[in-house]
Amino acid sequence: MDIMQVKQLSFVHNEKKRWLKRPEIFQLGPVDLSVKRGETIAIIGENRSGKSLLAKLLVGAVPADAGEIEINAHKYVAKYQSKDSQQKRTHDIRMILQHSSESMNPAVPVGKILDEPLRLNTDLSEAERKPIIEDMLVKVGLLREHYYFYRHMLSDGQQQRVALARAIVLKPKVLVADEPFAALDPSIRSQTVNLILELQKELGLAFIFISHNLGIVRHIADRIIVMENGEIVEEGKTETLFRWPQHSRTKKLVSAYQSLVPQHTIR
Amino acid sequence: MPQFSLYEEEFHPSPWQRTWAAFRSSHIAMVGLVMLGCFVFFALFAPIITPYDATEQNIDGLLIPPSWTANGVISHLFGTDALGRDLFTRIIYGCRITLGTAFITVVLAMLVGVSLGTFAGMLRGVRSSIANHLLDALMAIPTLLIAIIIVAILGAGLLNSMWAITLALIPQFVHHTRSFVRAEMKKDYIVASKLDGANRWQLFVHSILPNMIETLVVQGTLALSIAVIDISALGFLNLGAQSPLPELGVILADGLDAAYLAPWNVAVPGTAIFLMVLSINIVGDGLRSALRKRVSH
Amino acid sequence: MPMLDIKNLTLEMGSGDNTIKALDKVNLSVSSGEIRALVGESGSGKSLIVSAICGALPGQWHLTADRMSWNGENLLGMSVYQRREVMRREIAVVFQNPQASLDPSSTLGEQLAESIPEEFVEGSWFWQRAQHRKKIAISTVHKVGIKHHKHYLSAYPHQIPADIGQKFMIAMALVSQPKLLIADDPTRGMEPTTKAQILKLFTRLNQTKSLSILFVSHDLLAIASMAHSMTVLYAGQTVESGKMKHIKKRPLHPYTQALLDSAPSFRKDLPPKSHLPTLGGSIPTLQHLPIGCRLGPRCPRAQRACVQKPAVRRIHDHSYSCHYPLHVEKQ
Repeated sequence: MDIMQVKQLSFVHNEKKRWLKRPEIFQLGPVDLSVKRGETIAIIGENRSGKSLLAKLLVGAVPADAGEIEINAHKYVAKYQSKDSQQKRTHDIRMILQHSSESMNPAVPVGKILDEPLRLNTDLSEAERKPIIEDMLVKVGLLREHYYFYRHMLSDGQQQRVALARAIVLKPKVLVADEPFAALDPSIRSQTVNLILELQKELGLAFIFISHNLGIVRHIADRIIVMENGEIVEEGKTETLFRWPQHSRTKKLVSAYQSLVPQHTIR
Repeated sequence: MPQFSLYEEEFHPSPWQRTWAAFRSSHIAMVGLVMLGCFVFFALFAPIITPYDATEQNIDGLLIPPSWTANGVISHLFGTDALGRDLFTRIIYGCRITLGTAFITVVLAMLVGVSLGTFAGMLRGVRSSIANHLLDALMAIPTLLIAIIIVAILGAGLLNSMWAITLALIPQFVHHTRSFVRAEMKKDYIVASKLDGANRWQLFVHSILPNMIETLVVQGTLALSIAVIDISALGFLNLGAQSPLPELGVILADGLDAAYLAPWNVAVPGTAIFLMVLSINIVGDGLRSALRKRVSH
Repeated sequence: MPMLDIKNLTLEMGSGDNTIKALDKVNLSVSSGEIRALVGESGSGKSLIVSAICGALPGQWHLTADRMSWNGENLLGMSVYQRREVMRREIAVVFQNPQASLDPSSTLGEQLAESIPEEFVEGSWFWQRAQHRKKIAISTVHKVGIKHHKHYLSAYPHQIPADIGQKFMIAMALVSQPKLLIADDPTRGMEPTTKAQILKLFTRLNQTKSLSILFVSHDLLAIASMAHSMTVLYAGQTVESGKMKHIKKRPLHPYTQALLDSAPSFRKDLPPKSHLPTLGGSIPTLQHLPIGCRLGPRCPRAQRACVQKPAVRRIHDHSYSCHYPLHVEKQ
């Protein structure tokens, strides 16, 4: 059953020629996408192909020019960034930004960072919010005491976990992540991957992520979307894409990946 | 630290505590802080610690030298001036007036400047530029000149000089705040807060302000030293505080008449102004380095 | 005889009770014509080793080593001038972010022409020399695979894409015709196509010019495809070192095994969306380094003996330091 359907999402970044600015045109879309419950979708492509922009459009960080996003029977018109409809969207779809250390405010402790989405989006009182936050900390593998920690006291992996906790504290249906594993060391990366897989199983989260690491993509993605120049050029199941790539961009990516994989494991 | 150990009592400082620790490690900054603390103490408790009244004239004791010279008496610690007023009392009250008015001017300038700057920083385009450069014209004119103009229009007095200096200090705050807020708005954690659903006011109070407070304190301290110098200068020129109000600049001006006969009338208030400005500058500098040290870690 | 030979390198800061040993008896050697990978996560000290080789350590570190020699000559015993000569002519370094290593205010061509050593430029008049410099610059840039040299050599660093940038950095490193190229995580954050191009370039340079390469990274997939031998570093200690194919087939140290496990492409039997085998815990910070074997708190095979630092043992070319290695029967 589809938990999210995206219809005709499009974005044209056309800066009108104002005095002192040169016009830039970048067109994304129109994009059609459907996501099932508990599914993992990976978005791959070259830099500047529109992957991060698509992620931001889905979440509502950037208002689109046209299109509709339907999540869990709530319809969102992608053009609007108005307060009301955005509120509802935060309960359905959340995002993890690329650099986890940048996405934490250095002067605010972890507890307050996690408190913010709850404070702004629910009607719970302070006393009701604290146990939810502490539960969430334990769920992502931190300790209750981390409630009082500041950003500089946490390691990379822990910061990533805080970003994850912040995203799922509102119990969304879809989680979007922009290169969540790029800045992590291999051992921390494995831990984070395992954590996300667990959370997916437990909460039924659909997970959409952007990555350059095709090894991880092949391992955890159910479907893959290949983007180039603002358009989805190919889409399909992971194994199908890796073994029989159709579009030239996909072929380039897959062959680059295959050239690195040790010969004896090429299937 | 990656693993929380239950057996060691570790100290988890907040960012401000870390700045304080970095500040404390500089001995010069601590000395400056102690000096500033003395001045603040004088300013707050002036009526309690002074032996005489500030304007009480003692006809019998004109131009008594300070107590450490041969002819001085201990009852007048710093001696008296040409009208027989006790210099020690006047200096203490002078600290109160100078530091107090300087503090009020800075607080006022900060309030107006930070609001304008935040307003300019969170908007875009032409509105932002207007707010930013609204008071730039004032930056081109030295504060003394602005004060003279205002005095010419409104008349001399401490209150008018305060207005002048407040106006002169606002543009700096506007510029600094605006560039700070602008830089912060681009940061990822602000985007994350926006995604959480925060409106602009909530963004400012919960996300930007905690980061801004430290830079504001540093800037405020430096503005304070400018304000102190300006108020004393205006008092000296008789454009600000008027005699017999015991403001440090006024005391200096009064002492000029008898400068050759009684040099302590000029030296003591001059030294007081010097030490006040020095301590403020040292503290401001120490805060700035402490802040830089913390941020660079 | 290895070109670069480092034995028991120790890097300490502080003194007495609170010495911090960032590097603890590290062994590393690079033979001529081989690509050696230095593998380690953040906090393992690999960037410190690169700084130590280049002689660019910050002042507060104390360096001690049993042996740190280049082509037989002791690096530590050389004068500053000799050390600089070695760095200038025989070793070259390529860093992570190409944009950050280039001067933003001059074009690529100018920077490249400027860095060509005097000895290679022929000509007696200054315009002849300038022309020859340009020629060398163009030929070097062709060697690394940048085709439209006219366009790129007159561009500024902020105008070029990342892959051209990194290739250009390699070109800058090659002009001095070094014998050893140290690459400090050059492919970090790159997309797959660019990464493959850069790695192919390294392999080609190694084969055609028999350039030795010290490739520092934690990207095991990239390393496995091109390195001949590998040294694994954890929190400042060498845990395993040997030929790539031996280590891939039979990693002896639990940490190496964990690293290989973290890249799912190495095993064909992992069901999709299954949990990756992983070591619990995280990398210790400099202030909280464990005693003895530093992997101790995280290692699934750790026992009491692991509070003693294990000695280095060898099986043929494959050396490891572990009390309870994998695949080796203990008597």
